[in-house]
Amino acid sequence: MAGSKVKQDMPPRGGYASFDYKRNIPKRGLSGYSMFGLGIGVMVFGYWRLFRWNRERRRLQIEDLEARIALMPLLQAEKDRRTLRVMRENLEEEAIIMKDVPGWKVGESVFHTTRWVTPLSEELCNLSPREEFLNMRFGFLSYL
Amino acid sequence: MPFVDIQSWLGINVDGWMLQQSGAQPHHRAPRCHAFEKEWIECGHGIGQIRAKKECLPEFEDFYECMHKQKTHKRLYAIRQQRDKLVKEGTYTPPSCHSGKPEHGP
Repeated sequence: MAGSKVKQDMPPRGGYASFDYKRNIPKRGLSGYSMFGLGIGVMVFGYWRLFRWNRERRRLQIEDLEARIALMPLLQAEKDRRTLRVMRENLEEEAIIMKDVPGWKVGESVFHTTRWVTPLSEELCNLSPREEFLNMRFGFLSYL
Repeated sequence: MPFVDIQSWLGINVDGWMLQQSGAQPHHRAPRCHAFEKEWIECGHGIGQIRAKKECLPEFEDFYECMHKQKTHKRLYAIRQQRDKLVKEGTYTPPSCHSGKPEHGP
């Protein structure tokens, strides 16, 4: 078929210009060891900052605990006063309510001993609505 | 076996730590009925459980009551029933301190 004159798409005279086809992966950046070193260095710096801040947090927590200890007598005294007041009110109410019930001794202790027995939360709000009892028992679970 | 104390011979404490509430507790926190149990154990020491339940009956009853609060609850229930009965009859109104209003004062 070389004899017939057919218009074919041939390269130009002199051929194409040469171009760069070899692979070109330049060596750049840090080496592997240095990258490890950099990572470990960043981590060590992070750890050092962490440990310092944790020590500071521990000091702050100790301060909080000390504040709690310092306030405890006051809070306990207030709670005790409130307990006694509520028990007194309950006793008077009981006297009013149960005055027609035969054989009922007002303020009778269910124990044989005369020691102080810490009252139950049910005892303290026996005559109050149920929400108060639930609040007393489980109020600490809610955030508001 | 009651006459051969294996645990102290071996130096282990498999269940001795949980036999009574009044023993050593973690963080030294006293249980609720510590006083009652201590009284009962001191009263009934060395005479065995069966005799202790009979002869130290007041202490045992107090300890049982502290743990289960049955008499307390029965009493509270009776008071509540009577109060509801009176409220229904209309002869009794709860005072302001028991109506659920917020407290004023310590």
